[in-house]
Amino acid sequence: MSKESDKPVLDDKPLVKAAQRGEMAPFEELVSRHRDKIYARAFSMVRNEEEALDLSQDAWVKAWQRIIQFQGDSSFATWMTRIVINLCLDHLRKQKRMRAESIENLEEESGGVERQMPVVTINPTAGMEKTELRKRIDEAMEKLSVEHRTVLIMHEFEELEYKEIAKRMGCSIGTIMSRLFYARRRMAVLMAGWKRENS
Amino acid sequence: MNLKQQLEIQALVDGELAGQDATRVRATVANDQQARELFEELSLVKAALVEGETTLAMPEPPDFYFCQIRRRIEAEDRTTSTVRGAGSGTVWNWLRGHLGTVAGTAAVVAALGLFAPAYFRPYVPGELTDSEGEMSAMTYRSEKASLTIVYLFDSAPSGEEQPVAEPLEK
Repeated sequence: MSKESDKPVLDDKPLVKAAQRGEMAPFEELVSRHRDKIYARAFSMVRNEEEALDLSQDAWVKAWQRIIQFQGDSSFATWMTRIVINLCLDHLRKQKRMRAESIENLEEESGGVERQMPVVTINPTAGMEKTELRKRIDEAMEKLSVEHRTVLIMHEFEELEYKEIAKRMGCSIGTIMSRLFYARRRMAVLMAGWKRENS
Repeated sequence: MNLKQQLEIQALVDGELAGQDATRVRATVANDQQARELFEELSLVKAALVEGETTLAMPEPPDFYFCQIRRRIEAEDRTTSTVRGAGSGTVWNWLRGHLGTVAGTAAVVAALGLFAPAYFRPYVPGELTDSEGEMSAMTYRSEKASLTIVYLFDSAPSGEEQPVAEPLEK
């Protein structure tokens, strides 16, 4: 992704090989290299600092236990991110079982209000500082339902295909497409609001 | 535009359409203003999200964070080894230690069963009989001598009374 391009690319392979032999110090170095990204991904999904810390640590424990299974088909960072995403999904499922169905879910079932909203034709982020944009995006993500946010993260940030997201979330491709659509439309509406604020 | 058409435009933005479907939707976007506007909006959101993904730093000091991970790993290891020790591992270790004895005993039993004369073989009755109904018992108790004698005898008509019990000391 674009953000990683401004960091020096370090080769994780020797560290992974050593960790696969059971050496803890190289594993600690891997944690040091990727902990922020793994924590940030957990936080983006659960939106709670404590839970994100806990889940990211769980992910590292799982990684240590399964590191022998890592074949290097993807980068270590990608493999790690998949682990933390799966843990977050399990966590969100458990939470969902405990809470009542949200209004967003009902809206999704009935077609959603976002579909009827006018299309945003101007670019509300034009000329916006990157820091400001990140802050705004983060605030907007907070306003999405868990289901919509999760699909958006998996598609836009993790670059997973519809099919893969459907598999991971245990629902149909149609549901994923529909959630993604409403999530984007909602984001567009929120972004249009920023433009109005600025003008 | 219906929802199906809107989702097709989104699939085009995401590169999830191929072949004839992609060509058809691309033509719709080119010719229909509403479709084009939606295509642009979805593309814009996509670009903004990629550009604006939040980066966060750990709220905990790195050493403390890894210390906690290490502790969890060690705790998991301990649990795993305890389960192994308490479970099948113990049985397996015992079996490994006594494998020679177990195998030898099994071989002797098998050999006896195959080659021993008939009178060495255990008696296996053709049918099982319940003798409970044919047994009777008589008890003699002497407090003075602190003695109890129990007589068990076959009450079947053809049987002879046979005291079989030993005196039981109080």
